[in-house]
Amino acid sequence: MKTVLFISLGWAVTLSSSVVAQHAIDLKAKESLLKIFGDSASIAKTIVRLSAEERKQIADSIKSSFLSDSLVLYECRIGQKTMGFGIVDNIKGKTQLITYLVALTPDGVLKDVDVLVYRESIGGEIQYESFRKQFRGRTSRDKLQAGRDIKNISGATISSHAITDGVRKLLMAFNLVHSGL
Amino acid sequence: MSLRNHSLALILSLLLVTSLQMEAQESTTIGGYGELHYNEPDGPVKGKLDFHRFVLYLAHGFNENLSFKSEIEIEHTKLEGGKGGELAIEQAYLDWHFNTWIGLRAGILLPPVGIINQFHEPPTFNGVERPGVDHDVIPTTWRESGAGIYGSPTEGVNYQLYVVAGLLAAEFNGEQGIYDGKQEAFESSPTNPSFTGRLDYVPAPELRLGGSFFIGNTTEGDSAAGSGTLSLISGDIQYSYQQLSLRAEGAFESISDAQKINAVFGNGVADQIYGLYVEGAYNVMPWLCSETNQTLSPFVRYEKYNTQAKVTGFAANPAYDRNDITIGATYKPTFNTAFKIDYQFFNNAADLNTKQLNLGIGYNF
Repeated sequence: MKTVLFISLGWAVTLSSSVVAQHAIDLKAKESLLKIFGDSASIAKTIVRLSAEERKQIADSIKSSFLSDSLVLYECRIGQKTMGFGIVDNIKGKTQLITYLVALTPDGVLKDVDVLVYRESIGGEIQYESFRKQFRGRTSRDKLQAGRDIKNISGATISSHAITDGVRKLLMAFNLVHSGL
Repeated sequence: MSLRNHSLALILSLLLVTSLQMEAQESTTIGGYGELHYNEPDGPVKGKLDFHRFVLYLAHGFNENLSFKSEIEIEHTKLEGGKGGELAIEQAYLDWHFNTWIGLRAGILLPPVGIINQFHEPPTFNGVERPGVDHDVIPTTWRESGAGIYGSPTEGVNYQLYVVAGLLAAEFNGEQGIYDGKQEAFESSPTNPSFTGRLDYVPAPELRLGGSFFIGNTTEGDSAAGSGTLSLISGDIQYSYQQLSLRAEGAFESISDAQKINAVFGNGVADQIYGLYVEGAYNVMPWLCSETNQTLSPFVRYEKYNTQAKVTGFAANPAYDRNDITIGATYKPTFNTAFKIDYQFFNNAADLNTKQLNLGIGYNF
């Protein structure tokens, strides 16, 4: 009995610690969304499962593979009113994953992009306001190509392309799942 | 149930903790870049087709703040019977990113001098071959063992500051300056620790200004050769406006005790070396097709460099006072693939002028 208790205790620790990293990103996402939608917003997190058909539709529209089978979606409300949504995802930069957040209005207009964790040695300039502001007001109808619609950071082409592709992907994904929300 | 069993259960649970934690936090990524070159010199010298560089990245994130990054390079495709190219670890370091304004980096690092040494993925620069300045003046790809700090204290400003193994004056020469003095982390001598650093200012996405330096002794304490202090300063600028891209780089080096170095090693080492280049490119693809993300950029680059700009005790070789003009075009079907063509005019003060046609492909992923 005691052994079971010990194992259970171990598992409890396991589960809690396995979500430590996720939790840290979760906190950063919420902090960022409060800045975007206002401190009085309440934030609820949901995981939206995507069907194979939905994944294929997103992949077709972004002309790139879409591997995630779910979206981490945050709904931001003030009172009963939905102010907007946040989606968190990872995309590969030069060698490392970039964890980023896209904040949207209920109509799917991009409010802001925030880099939650940047792990690359170079190219961190994509976190700068002067770069991120180019995304505001964009929707899934915008083609959003780095180097054309979004100015690349000089000397950070790879990261600029990565985050632009990532934002386009999430705008499309949001557009697709939006009807179901 | 004995205490031993309880302990075992606890250890087992903790092992599970560790493994699951790793699963949740760690990630390994691979990537790479490469370039295939065809060089055809004007005249009787035969041309050559060469898979110049094949590089694989291997990186691992241990957690949000700690990561390992590496690049393994094969130059000229093979090594056989002691001949051929080079198999090398070009970069391998740990990054400990505390916060945006400071992080710690240690391992085999790139001195952050100039443009190309840090950003040398072939689709990121025009021309099949790297600029001559980024070989004979700034010796790319320059990597050394070392450690240091980096960060972004305020938006728009980045710094890097490292102490690394120094260069070896014994390998300096008149033609390629300090190029062969790199230790490249191969059983490198720590006798001459050197300091290197860089400050980047990025006021807007389209503009990057950089200043960098490298300073250190090079004679490994050989008193007959003096201290051989190398002082290198460099500045660079990258700017883009709509379809126009401009970049420029300049570097100046002084080597103290060059006369003593030459007395010991006899390699025609200069007191001063300099180099600069300017390059302009214009993407004409929107004229040909407005609905594409592909680019086609004709470009021209002018380089001026002299690896014996100032010498003492002997006459400088005018053939080392060079200016190169490169005219060509880069076609990029995607941002990370490139097809390149260019024609180079290598001129020097000795009027031993040559020309060369280059074709190349490059990629990174």
